[in-house]
Amino acid sequence: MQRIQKIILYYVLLTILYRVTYLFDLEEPWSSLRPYTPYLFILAFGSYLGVTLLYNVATTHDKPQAYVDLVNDIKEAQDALKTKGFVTEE
Amino acid sequence: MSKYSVLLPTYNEKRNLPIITYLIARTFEQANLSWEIVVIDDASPDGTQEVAKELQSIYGEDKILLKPRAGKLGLGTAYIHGLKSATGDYVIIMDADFSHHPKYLPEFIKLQKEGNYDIVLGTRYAKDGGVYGWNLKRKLISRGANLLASTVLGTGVSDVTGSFRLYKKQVLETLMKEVTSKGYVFQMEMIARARQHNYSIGEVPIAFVDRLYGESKLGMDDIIGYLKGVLSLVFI
Repeated sequence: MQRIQKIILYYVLLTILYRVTYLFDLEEPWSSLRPYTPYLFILAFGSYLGVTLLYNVATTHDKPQAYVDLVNDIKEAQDALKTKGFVTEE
Repeated sequence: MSKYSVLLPTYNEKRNLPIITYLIARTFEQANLSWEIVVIDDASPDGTQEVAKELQSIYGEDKILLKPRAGKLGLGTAYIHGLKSATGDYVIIMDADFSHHPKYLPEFIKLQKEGNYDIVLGTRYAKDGGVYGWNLKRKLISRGANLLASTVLGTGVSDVTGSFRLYKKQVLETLMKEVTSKGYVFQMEMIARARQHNYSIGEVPIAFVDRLYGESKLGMDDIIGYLKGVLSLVFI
């Protein structure tokens, strides 16, 4: 299935869920909250994304050793290539 | 024995090509694997092709294949061009600017064998993956772009735009026939289409060393282009 089809399916399922809430008699405050549920959903989803992003940024590992190792490897490569008769630029 | 072809599109990589070649060769020889590098050079004015020919005399023309092109024709078509000459069972794509270190290749290969994965990608964002040289702003932009694409496209991989990947040759050939976008979006489209084909994707954490030389700028045009690209992939 295409992604767009899946997105439309999610939308339809959520809409059905939304409409189902109107089939029941609910007490206050839940009863008058029903029209706002789509907005609350968007707010919740947006918050989830925001928190996930901040978490992802905070947990992006820094790898200073990778840089050190790379510089050493480049030096090794330059030396080895020189012995094979290759002239590399510094 | 399985053979591994590394596709290296180059443009003005006279300085980096010999070093990356040495590191790739060292990695494969130490791991006792059958390998070749396909250099796809887009008529570099700095003499990259002459350097490639010198490397051929050192490593052998069976190990270093030089497939030049008439001009700067883009990454996607470079891969297609390189694939035609690749004799390996598996194809690796990576950058030639040291952001991707060949030392991870044995891990890619081991994981691929263990799970018979169609694709193995290097991830900067999961497990012990990481980066060097990113400030907070860069992390926000990159993680944000990745989260956006992952959420909208539902790709189910931790790093959607990474370009350090191993493919089964047949898988890469199939995908390359379908993919039409460029740049970051190209890498995302490969994954999105791979998911549609139900290809299995394994992940190896890598350390990505960004911009060993110099600064990169991200303009509004790039951002808009990226958003348009993600949107276009919703409809494939």
